[in-house]
Amino acid sequence: MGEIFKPGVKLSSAVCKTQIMALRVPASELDVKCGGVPMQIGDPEQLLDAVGEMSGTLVGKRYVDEQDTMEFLCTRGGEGTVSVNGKALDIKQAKQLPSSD
Amino acid sequence: MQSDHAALYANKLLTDLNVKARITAQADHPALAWQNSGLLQVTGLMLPLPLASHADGALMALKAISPDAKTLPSYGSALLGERARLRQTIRNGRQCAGGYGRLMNTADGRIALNLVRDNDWDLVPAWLEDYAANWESLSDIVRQRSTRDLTLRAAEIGLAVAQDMLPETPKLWFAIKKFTASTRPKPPIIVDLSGLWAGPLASSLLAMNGAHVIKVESPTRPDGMRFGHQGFYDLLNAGKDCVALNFRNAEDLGHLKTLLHKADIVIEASRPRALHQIGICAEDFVAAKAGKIWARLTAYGQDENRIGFGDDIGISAGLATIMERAHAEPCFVGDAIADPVNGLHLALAIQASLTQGGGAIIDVSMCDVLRYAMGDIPQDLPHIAQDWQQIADINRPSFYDMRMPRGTVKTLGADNSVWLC
Repeated sequence: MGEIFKPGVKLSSAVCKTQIMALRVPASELDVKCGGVPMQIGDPEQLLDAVGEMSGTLVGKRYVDEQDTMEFLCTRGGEGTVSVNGKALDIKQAKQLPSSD
Repeated sequence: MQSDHAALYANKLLTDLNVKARITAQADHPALAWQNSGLLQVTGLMLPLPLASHADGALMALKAISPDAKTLPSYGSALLGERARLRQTIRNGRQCAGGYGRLMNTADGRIALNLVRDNDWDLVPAWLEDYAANWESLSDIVRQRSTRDLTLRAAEIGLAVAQDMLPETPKLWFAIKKFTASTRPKPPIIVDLSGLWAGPLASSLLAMNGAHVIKVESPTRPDGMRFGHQGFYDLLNAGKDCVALNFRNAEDLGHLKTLLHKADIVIEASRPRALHQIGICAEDFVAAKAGKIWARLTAYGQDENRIGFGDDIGISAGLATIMERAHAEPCFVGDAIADPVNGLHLALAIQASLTQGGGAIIDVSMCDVLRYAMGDIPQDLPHIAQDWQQIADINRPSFYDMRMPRGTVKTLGADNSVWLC
């Protein structure tokens, strides 16, 4: 079960305030969850109980998968853990500073 | 040809900082400062505002409150042009001198986009919700979008996008939160967490006034300028101690906090939330030690998490609008011009606070400082541009001397063993 996402799409958590934006995504079906519950386009009217990991998201941080095939930006922080296809995403290290500007 | 533009601005800055001053020295006319600093060459056009003279004035003000003015550079405006002169870069049409920024039309206005970092292009699809393989297809898409949408989304994603607009002059160019003042031991220790140009320039000027500077970098994300023009990096960073700390490592974070407590002056240019997220709050540190100064540099102020670089901030401050009114050609002005202008002003604000016993958080918005330094906007810009160009033509360029680095630069983390114990 999953969906193909385009860069720029925003997904909201169903268990907390987390919102993420897809920056880089593969053109394949992704099962994106937060706190074990599928994330959705647009905020939910009511929050559900989490059924998965709740280690939290930080606004402004980027999250990547282990193979670095996708990257999401946290646009609103919350308590849930974001996972894709069953694997938790991890914080990406900050962007390198430019050598000139 | 001399004028009092620089002196008037110097007195204004010192008055803003509650320092008594009566500077009367004449300095090069704005048109000559523009030319001799290399700014005319890099821009290709005369700026009909006395910005170069105001940079001269900012340095005159700093000299007026410095222990030994002779150790400081000769001309403030020369600092604005030195990187372009070293790297021999010039503006190319709507492309900035550094090469990474472009001015582009939107459906209802103009923006500057600065794709400086290696993987900034990766963010373009998320920004536009569309794919652009090169500048041409990117500008085709941008032309159909509203300025507001483009700037809002860019701010959210962390891309350097600026709206071409001419804001009002801010009432003041800094904000100060006062804490307990106290005389600090001399020489003061500066912990400089900033990178690139503005912050390192400020700490290098304060080092000329005797401060001991510790440059703190992340081993995984060092100052990017280390990998740019070496001669220019040397100018800004020679003589500084270098400490490398990984802020995501608990032990290193402890070392960082110890260093920040030890510092008499902290300079940082991170986004407001970045230090909060690792549990560092300027207020706590300044409250804990009387006389400490904490200077925070942001692109657009503490309330905004927006990023910006020297060229695109110049567009937000109104420089392209000025050039369009004067020459019918909107363009980038100078080379990352907000950076050196801010480095000068930041050094001045810190030195002024130091002479008053410190105990302050000083907030500086790069866009506000640049706009302040542009001054009031006269009506007859095309005429002024013509007149000043004539003054420059008559006097022929006699470029200010290039500066020499003060000593050697140290490698990343070279002084860890000295400072982390």
